[in-house]
Amino acid sequence: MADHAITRDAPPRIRSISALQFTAFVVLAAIVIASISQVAPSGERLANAAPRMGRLVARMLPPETDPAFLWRVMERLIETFQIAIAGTVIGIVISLPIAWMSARRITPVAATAFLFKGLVSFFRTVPDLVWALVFVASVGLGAAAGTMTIIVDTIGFCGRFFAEAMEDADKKPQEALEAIGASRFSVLCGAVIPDALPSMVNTALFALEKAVRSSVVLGLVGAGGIGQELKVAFDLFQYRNASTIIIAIFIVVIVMEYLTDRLRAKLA
Amino acid sequence: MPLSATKADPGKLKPAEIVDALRPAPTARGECLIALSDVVKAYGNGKPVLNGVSISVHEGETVALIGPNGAGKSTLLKTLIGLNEASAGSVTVFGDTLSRRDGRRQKARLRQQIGFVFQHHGLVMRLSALSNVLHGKLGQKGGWRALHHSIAPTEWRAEAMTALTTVRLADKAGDRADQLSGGQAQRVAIARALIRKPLLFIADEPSASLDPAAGHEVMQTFADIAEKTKTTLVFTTHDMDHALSYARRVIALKNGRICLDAESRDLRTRDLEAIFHG
Repeated sequence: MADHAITRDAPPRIRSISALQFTAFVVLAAIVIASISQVAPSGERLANAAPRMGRLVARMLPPETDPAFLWRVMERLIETFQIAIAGTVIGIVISLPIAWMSARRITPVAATAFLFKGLVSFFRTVPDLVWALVFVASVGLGAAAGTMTIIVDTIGFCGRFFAEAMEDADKKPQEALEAIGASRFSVLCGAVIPDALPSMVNTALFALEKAVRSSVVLGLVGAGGIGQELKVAFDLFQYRNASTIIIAIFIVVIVMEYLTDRLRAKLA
Repeated sequence: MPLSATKADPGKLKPAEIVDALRPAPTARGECLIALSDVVKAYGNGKPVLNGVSISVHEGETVALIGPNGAGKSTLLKTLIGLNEASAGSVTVFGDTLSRRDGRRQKARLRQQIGFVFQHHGLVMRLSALSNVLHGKLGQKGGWRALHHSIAPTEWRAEAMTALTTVRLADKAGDRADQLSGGQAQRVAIARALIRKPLLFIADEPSASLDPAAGHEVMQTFADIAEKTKTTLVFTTHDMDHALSYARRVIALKNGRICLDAESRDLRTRDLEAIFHG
């Protein structure tokens, strides 16, 4: 009897939902099912693709090891890395003032904060390949377009997270420096940035990691780097060259992730 | 009244001369530093936190502001340095009446002469004690050089070391603030205020977040410095013992009004407790 009373007071196993919630659930389920049936590969298609995939992999093996080709791949990899480094560093430098101008309660001009936030959102929401197409069209084919793409992408990424780190910085040192009569810039440099620095360094390392991955694919649209070599290899059906490039990209990205992980762990 | 104090280089002084070096420029003793007349402060359309407060504090005084939570002590201190603006009444500090029209620069000039210490030390935890003390110079001309001890001029570093010596923390100069105990951090905050050679120390419950021993040590350091440098000290506290031991004058606030203003030697702990419980 007592057990029954206890069970009666317990919350129900399934929470009752309103008619509106039920309708929303049904609509969402319909969208998911319709999407899968429209664009996901069918079983028959997958079955037909499997032998073709097997033939492609067979044509990719063994990877090309001609020294002249490997040297060219190395040069392109260095260029890719340079695009990532230059773009990230320049992007971070530009992100700092933009983050300051857009951070709530930190910005020196509160009235324009939303403009800077909007700019950062715009940079972030447009995909990097689209930025690459824009810059290839404006500055021409090559590494410069790739670097500009990474700069914009980094501003979109770091601008947001730097601003959040600044907003989350301990308020007490800021109040103490304001009471001293320090300028807003001094409060930023003396209290906000030192406190937000670990988070900002973390963000910068993620940005670098992201930039290395992005700079690899930017070449597909002509924005320099190893991606351009990969596109040529596929266009000319040089699949052994392509597999060498894919392995090289894999190694670079893995090494980069390993190094940034180590750095992050050290800074934590 | 002189607005800034000219000093000898503390780096060239012997320890015995340190306190003299940190003493503000001489002023006419007993001059009125703070005068509040019928000050009212309300946040938005709410009930006034300060309701017709009139106080005058003269040079060289040590004043304890006491009162229960919400009595308006912190609001009063912040009003004195322009962090809050009075809704009505007048606030005169160092002979200048604060006004709503005062710009950031005027407020900064006023704060230059005040050493403010908060309940929470407000140190930048990832910086060294020395850099935190140097931050006391930030409001000054060329203050950007005080952002970090590595770029500070030699004479400023010497002054900061002098201030740390005064609070007995010279050996912790290179330690990061997050490695210091609560009492040590609060003493670094005092050194940060001291390096400004203020005419007035204002401390908002400087011992509230500390254990009793550390609290007494901080208050003793404060009282010693104030006495030796003849600097005026105004502090808020919930600790009756601190109010009676470290202040010559006790002012009690309750519901935004002054309900007691007396010499501490004429008071007993029981009198003050009645304000909290009565």
